[in-house]
Amino acid sequence: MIQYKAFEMHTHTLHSDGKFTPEELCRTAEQYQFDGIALTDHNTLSAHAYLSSHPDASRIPVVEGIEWTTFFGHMLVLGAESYVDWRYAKPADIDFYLEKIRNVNGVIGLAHPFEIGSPMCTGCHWDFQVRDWNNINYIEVWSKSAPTTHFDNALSFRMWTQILNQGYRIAATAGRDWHWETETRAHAAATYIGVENGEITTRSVCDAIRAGRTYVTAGPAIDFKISAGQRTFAIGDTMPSGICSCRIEIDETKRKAIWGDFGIDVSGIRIVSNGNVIYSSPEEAKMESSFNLELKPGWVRAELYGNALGETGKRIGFTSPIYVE
Amino acid sequence: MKRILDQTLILKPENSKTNVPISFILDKDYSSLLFQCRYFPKKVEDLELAEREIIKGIEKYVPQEYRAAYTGWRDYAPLVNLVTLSLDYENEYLGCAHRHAPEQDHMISASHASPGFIPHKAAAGRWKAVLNVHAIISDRITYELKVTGFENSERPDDSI
Repeated sequence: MIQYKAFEMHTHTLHSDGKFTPEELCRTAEQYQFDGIALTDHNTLSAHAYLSSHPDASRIPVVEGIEWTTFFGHMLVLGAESYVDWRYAKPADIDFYLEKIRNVNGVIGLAHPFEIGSPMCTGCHWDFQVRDWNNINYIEVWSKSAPTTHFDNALSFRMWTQILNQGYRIAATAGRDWHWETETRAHAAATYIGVENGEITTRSVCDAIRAGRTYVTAGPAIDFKISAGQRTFAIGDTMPSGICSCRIEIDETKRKAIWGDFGIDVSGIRIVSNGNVIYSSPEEAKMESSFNLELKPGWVRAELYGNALGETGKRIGFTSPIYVE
Repeated sequence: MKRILDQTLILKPENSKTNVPISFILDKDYSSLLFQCRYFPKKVEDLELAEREIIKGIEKYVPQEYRAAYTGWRDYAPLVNLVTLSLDYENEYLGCAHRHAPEQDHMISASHASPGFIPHKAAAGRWKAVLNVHAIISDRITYELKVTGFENSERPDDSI
């Protein structure tokens, strides 16, 4: 049975340029009520080696990862069974390296693809020319704290949608790119990942991302399912086209102590298929909504809209797609 | 204690986004190796250059529709040069110190390594320090790398 767990998917320690020790990162992530984190230091796995030899350092499950911090883009690599050298990738040959990582069972995600690049942050903007997007498992569509407020996240969301429209299957994540804790608690989005039986390991998280079982939220938890005939389909599944019944449940209780002070209120639900809005909730969103739709081949996702951090009409949550044949 | 390497390089903007390998052979095993890195200047002191480059960056990366929020180039000043150090032993990657401080000391031994690196015996063989030149914005920077080998009876500073 799939259970969705809350993750922070992009973190750093003093093994690269973070200020957290591995222990401090894990402890602080617990305070944010995350169920797990991906530890993704720049160009090193040494914090994972440290955690392996200090099993008491963390009570929270830690997914093994690294941030490929290259000169032409940053890329999150999770669960690779052996190291693939980040240093020599050039814009035109990234697919060669993507295939090498996939051959050692790594899961690959673009990090903050529209972050401002050189000279302010060399390599932070994604300049690699990906030829085969089948090599990419996910895109960090939301980056940084307070993700609804950043223009680059709007561009990342648009990019993700365009790639989905080309027929590729790519999951979405959020990542705070967490280097240190601020004096006052920042607004942190969560990536919910659907893991088998709720078990969190590097392997189970990688399997879930490969299967597209993720959603991203500024606050409320989301359950999105579609029924067609006798069968029910969930995020990441593939379903037949035609008339179907959609059901969305919004849970505003999960982790509310963490996001409840940031003015996040759901006021509407949209269903987006192949880049087009095919359903908008008629009034203030109910916590449970059911409605019928006709789906064409392609993809379909749910999006939540409302208030966030003093702004209205913001996209405050979205699922990875259900795919339609 | 033996000084294995003492090298000074000049890096220029055209070296940005490249790796500069510095190989050396250890002719015998040591107890530990100390890598001392220093580069200067860290900050781009030429404010006219910084202004020009920052504005160019904003125009390149921030679409017009969002640009109103980016009026002040000084928000991004000072620009900094960034060179990180990664290490290999006989083609095995030992890690990287992706940190911004322009002066860093790193130690490697079989039982201990500075953050960013995995412990590895300071063994005889081919070592490679790779300077990851992310950004040189100043006209030029000076990069100094010293490598020192320690014998069993010697210990470098425990805090490294």
